[in-house]
Amino acid sequence: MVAITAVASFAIPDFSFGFHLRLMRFIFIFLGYIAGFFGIGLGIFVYLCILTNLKSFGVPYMVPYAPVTNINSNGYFLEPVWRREKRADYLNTKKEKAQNHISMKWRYK
Amino acid sequence: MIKHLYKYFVIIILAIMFAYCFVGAHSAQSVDDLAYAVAIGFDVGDTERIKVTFQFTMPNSSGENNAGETAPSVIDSVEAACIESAVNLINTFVSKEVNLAHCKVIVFSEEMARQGISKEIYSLMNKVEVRPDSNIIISTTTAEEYIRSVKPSLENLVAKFYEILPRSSEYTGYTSNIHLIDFFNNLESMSQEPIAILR
Amino acid sequence: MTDKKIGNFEAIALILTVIVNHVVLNLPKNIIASTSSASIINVLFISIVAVLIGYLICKLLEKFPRLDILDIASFLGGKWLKIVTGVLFLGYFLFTVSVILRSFSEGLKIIFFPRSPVAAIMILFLLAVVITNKIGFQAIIRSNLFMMPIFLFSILFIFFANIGNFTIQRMLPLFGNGTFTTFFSGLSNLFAFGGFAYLYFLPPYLKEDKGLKKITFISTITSGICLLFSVATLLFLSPNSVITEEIFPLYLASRNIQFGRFFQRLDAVFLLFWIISLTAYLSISFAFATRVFQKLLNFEYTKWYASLFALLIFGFAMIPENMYQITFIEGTIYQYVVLILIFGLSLALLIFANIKYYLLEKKKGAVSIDKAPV
Repeated sequence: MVAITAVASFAIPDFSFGFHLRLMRFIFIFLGYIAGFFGIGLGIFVYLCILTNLKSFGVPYMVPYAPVTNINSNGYFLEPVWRREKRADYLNTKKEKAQNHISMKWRYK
Repeated sequence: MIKHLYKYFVIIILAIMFAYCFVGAHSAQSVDDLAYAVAIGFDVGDTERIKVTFQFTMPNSSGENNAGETAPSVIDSVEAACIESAVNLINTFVSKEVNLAHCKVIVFSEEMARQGISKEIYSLMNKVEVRPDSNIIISTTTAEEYIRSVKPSLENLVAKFYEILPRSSEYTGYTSNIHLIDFFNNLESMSQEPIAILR
Repeated sequence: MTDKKIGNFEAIALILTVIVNHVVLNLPKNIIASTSSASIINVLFISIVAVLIGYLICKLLEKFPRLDILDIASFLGGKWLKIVTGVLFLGYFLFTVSVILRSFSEGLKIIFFPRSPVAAIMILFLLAVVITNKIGFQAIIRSNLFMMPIFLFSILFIFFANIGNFTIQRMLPLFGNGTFTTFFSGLSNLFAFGGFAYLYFLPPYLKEDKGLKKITFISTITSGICLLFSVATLLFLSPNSVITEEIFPLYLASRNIQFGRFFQRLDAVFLLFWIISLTAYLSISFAFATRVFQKLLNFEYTKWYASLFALLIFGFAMIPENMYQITFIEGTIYQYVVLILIFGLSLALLIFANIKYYLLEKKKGAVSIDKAPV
């Protein structure tokens, strides 16, 4: 369990993001002490609610996962790069299409 | 300003109150304070209804590397009317609290099996600690003798022996792997009969 | 205004929440208790009936775009009918939250906290619910959408991981207690689709008006699949008399999962996910209850009286004295409450409102419905 936590903490690329994790670790340890497993579950849910409420520069924080507008642009199942034709919806771009319909033309020649 | 501090004061008081309410959550699960019973045996008792035998192991003996020698285990029996009171009585003798969460084998003696074991099966299934995939073994001698005589020569730990032994049904036809849940389901069902292995 | 818009997938996850949480608690046990080995056929049958009823509701709601059931009630019968409907729905939401809260806390106490009082577990749940309600409605809906694939996957996983222990012969005799019990009195098993209560309140919050049909179909079909898998797991795993006496049937089914030596007791992971899903369900029902109250009395913010509602729910949840009473309430009384209120009363309300709309249209030519400000 500790090994999984240590390896997962490598997923955070920037160093300054790690401060947040350290603070949250204390809060979750405290919740785990109070009410065991149950407290950690509740803590995860409240933490998730706070996260989904955040907006950075007008874009919601959990955007490919939480408000899903188009079934093709969700966070769980991403398309391969050569199939992503539209730009992301949450950016409100002026030009919607990022690449042509068949971008790898050399495949079909 | 005082109003804001009041809110935090209330939160801290609540947190301390909850820490006392949930004592069962974090004190019962510290590994060093529990004695894990690896095997349980049921016999027909002399003075009471049944005689229950518990086999405890020490959890830190898995680091030893004695080739050919098994780690020491503690075997105790008490006489009681049902398994709950047996656990209660054993708790008075053993210093740590008895926990049945790692119980892998439940042994019944043949004499007891002829009398009927449905009461014990029901009590075992009703306890949340006991795993539904522990094995049932019926022994030709009394259960206490069986548990005392188990000295595996290819293993260090008795627990691992109990776990692997019934799995030989995967590659042999002469035995079968009966879990507690299978036995219980067959007992309750009106279209199947329960079976167990005899050693 | 942007605070209150819900997309399509969020609405689907909203309606799915209800059935996922009830499946975890005691729903398959109650279905199997009434129609013993015909449960699978019964579930298929009521899924089809529920899809038809959903289609009917969508058709009836077409004439009233962006109006929820309270506005329709005020169109039909004036202020008094609106108040009566509002009070009934408010009572339904509060009742559901307290019953589910108490039932799950009792089960959790038996498994994990044998020495703690039930009240402490319930207070912690309510604390989390009140905190998330003060954060906002949209936050709850989005976190629910975020975790919904995981909840659905957990139920499927229990089915597929237990395949080694199944005896499919428990499905026979195929019609169980008789065709009458399976199809006619088995219709009372429609209470599983209690998520339709949210459907009545959903139209003002949707981003696109035409999405209601899509939402109803997809959510009902997915609910049916989820229900089918959970009922099949229980039915094939244990004989009938065992299932009807268990506490948390799906949790006990998850204790049998074993993949070799390393993945042995996975039931704690499932319980963690189910705690999160239950908190989401409680928060959503609570949010709807406060919104109904807000609409009835024209309040502006819901966050001031959220704690009061939490205390009321706590009071209701402490009324049953032991586990048997709460199981009875959840099994029998909840069934009739859902059937009468959601499938009986509201459908009648919608039908009468449509009849009145047609009559008015014939008389006057065009009907204008003044909508109360959201």
